[in-house]
Amino acid sequence: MVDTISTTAKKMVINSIKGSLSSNEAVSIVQPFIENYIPKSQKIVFYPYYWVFFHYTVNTIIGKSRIMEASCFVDMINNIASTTDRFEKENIEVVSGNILTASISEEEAFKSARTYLTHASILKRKALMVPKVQVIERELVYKPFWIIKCTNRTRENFNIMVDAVTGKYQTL
Amino acid sequence: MGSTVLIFLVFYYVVVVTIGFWAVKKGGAKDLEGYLLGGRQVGPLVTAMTLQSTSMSGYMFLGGGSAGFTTGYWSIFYASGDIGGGVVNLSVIGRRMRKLSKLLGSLTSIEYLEHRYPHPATRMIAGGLSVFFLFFYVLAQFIAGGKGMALVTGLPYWAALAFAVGIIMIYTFLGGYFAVAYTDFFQSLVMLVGMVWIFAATLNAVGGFTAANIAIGQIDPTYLSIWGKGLAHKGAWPDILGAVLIFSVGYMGWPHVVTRHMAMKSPKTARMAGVYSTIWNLFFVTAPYMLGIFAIILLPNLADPEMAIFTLAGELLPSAVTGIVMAAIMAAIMSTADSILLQVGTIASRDLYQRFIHPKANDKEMVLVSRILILAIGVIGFIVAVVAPPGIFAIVIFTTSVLGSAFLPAYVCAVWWKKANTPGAIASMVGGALVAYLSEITGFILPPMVAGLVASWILMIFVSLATQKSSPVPEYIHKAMDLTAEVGPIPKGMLTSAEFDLSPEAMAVKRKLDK
Repeated sequence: MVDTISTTAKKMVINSIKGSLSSNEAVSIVQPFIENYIPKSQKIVFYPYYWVFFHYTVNTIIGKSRIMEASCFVDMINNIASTTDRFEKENIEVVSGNILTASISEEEAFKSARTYLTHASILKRKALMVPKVQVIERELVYKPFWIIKCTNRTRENFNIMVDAVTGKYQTL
Repeated sequence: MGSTVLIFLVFYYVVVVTIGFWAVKKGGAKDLEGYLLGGRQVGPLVTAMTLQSTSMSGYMFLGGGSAGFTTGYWSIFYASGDIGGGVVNLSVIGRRMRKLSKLLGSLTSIEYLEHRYPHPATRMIAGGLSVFFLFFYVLAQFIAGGKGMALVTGLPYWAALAFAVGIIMIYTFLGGYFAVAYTDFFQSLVMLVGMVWIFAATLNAVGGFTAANIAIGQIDPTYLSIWGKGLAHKGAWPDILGAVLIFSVGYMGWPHVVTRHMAMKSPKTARMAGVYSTIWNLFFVTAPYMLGIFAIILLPNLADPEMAIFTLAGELLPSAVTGIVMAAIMAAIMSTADSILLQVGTIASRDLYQRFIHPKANDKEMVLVSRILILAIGVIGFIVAVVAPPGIFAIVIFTTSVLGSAFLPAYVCAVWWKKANTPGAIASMVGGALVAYLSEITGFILPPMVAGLVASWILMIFVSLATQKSSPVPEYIHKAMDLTAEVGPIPKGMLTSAEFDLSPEAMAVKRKLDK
């Protein structure tokens, strides 16, 4: 059973990451771990991220590195940056009630992505060098997540959130 | 050591640099993901092996051997704490801290402390203590590097030290290309083979464990006693407790170790990392101490106990192998030194300079601040290491005691005790560090680790309870702690395999669903 969170029927077009998982596939990923619980319903939500794609180089003892790539996501609700894999996008029409509202501006998110890139590149490369950065692309994108409600015989229940792109999951 | 050793040492570095050059210029990871998620490419076992081997440091090869050589089997108390230390850390704070730090949006361990105990003083004190005491740990690596380099090159100690410190500085400022998964893996393999080889050769030379113990007993039976050489610690159970605590819980005070908890992917990863690290530690943590003990028989006239393992390698291994093993040990020392220097630089620039002095500092300024501080540490460290070099074992034990005493209750209570508040944490950090420090310099009846921990725990509990009304823990922290502890009806398999990375998103989605 697939439904939506919102009771409002208002729709809007968003720039979404192409989700490769269907609701059934999302259920099959978590099924082995939910033991005696039964997945009762699935809902889809769209989470706002600011995506920045960088090219950068670093000077080392042996000269300038070749051009490296960094694809960063900034969670626009919690303002937390991370790296991400390449993905495909699509414009889709969704019920507005299924979209989570961003709580930071795009500029704040962009700043977080820059800071994160420097921090991560210094820590991982273990060298105190500021990378020379070029911004190739930046935009607001939404990522689809499946919310699966699981219930057992005693009517205890919990929700799982499954990333519809990567299949990673977390309990709610 | 002979020229063959030097040739193979140079050969080893040429191989490592070539791999690094290839990785940066031609192949290997092109994107940041490739660097950040090296583990995804090489698998969890190799990642765990690489992590463990890069955590081996000058202390391991010089300090551990020295402790075994000078105190005998008493030194194994330190090793025993170290063997289980990884699992204790992961079990006590690992999972919850990973989740809480993500929920609070903390990038560094010091930032995490300020977010959990919200007050600028938290960060100032934690950052200041970390920078000051990590200096001593870097000093230990400098001395280890200098001594190793002097042995291999035949240069006088001061010149070898200048050379080693210079390399570490360049490596930290401009290197970076060594730190790809390929070079780390190559180095860890060499270290693994080298360590097994030295141990096997030494064991063979002493005729096995039984023969070695008989021979040591004939030299001085107190080397075999649990009370240490000359029964120096007879009946002193606090000393034993202190020795075991140093590396079993003391690690929880290390900012660079705690930061690792913040990078775990899932509880399952943490559990597997715990299993791997315990297996690894069973041999690699014990081996340096045992080598030091065996050196009592094989190197009776050894002038500097810290050179026990280096000298055993020179005496027992073929020259070519010695060269490569020495190079791997030097690489381990350099790798540890630059990791700590970077940690110090990050704390100084991000947690102190940007937070308190220049909030709008850009990346370049922050890196400049880090470089200046690191350069200062290099110069001061060099002077101290030449003029009055302390023992590596003593430095590491001292640093771990102070940092462990300062931060252990703060990190543990951050995730386990909701009443732990800012005044309690600050009193605990300052009081714990002060008592451990004073205990060390005054030779107090209790070991610094024990005295410091007792003080910091008492302060954390009593000050927190006494200031609950004036400084209550904010509600959003209570909620985040509830979320990190939440188990509810969720099956265990689901909890252990869920991704930590999605915790903040999960919290936001839950809020929306609850509405």
